[in-house]
Amino acid sequence: MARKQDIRDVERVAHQFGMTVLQRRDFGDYLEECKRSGEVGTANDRGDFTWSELEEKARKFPSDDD
Amino acid sequence: MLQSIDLTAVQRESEDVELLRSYLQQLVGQPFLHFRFSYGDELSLHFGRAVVYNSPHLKHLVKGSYIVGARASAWSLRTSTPPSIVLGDDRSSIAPSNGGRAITKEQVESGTLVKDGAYILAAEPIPMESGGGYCIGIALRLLLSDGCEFFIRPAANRGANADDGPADWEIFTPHDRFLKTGPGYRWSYLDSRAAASSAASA
Repeated sequence: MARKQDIRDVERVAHQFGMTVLQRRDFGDYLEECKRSGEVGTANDRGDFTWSELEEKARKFPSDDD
Repeated sequence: MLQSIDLTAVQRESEDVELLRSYLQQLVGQPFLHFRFSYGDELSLHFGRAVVYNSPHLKHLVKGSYIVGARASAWSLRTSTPPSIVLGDDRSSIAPSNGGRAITKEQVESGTLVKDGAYILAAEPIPMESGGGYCIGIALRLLLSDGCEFFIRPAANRGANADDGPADWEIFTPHDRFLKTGPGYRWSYLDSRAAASSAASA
């Protein structure tokens, strides 16, 4: 059921933006919340994000406080 | 013999399933909080204490101090009341005439599948052989106090490179550590504050 390529894309963009493993985990929840709140992507009918859109989301995703 | 394991110590690239079983014992007794689907339809199970996310974008949500992530692996949940099996497995497609019916992510997340107050009774790693569309790897079995049983089994969808792809499953702990398994019988217990790699989360 889970889509391996989407999970891989989150890992790749998290690595690209220097996220920690924990941030990468929370970033996946953030992306899903974006979709649920109507901030959908344009990759497909599910509202998934293109690579550019993932990068934009990663830029907006704040760092941990520590 | 008496022994103790430091839950803040890092363990790299082991294939010792009994040692993995020891690390999993920190889950026993942890109360179930909720299910949540993450991006890519990865199912996560949240246990322990409810904690806030660091990100202000997620301040309306809480997560568990322990989080079990199924990544892209197949999973199943056997519920006790009513007795049913929920399947998250692309290999399974059960016709309505045989009792299967579609269920939505929202229904899984609704909080009705696991009883309030249920906690983990047992957490076991199970080495699996290949076959039936599944690959060699370590499955995870969680038994809850309300009779529910959750099972994650690595799926046979890795690429030609054995290290290709996300972990088979992960568990984030409140000790700034996370457990990851795969490929095969390999597992590691690493610093969750370390940089995310571009391959399987190391």
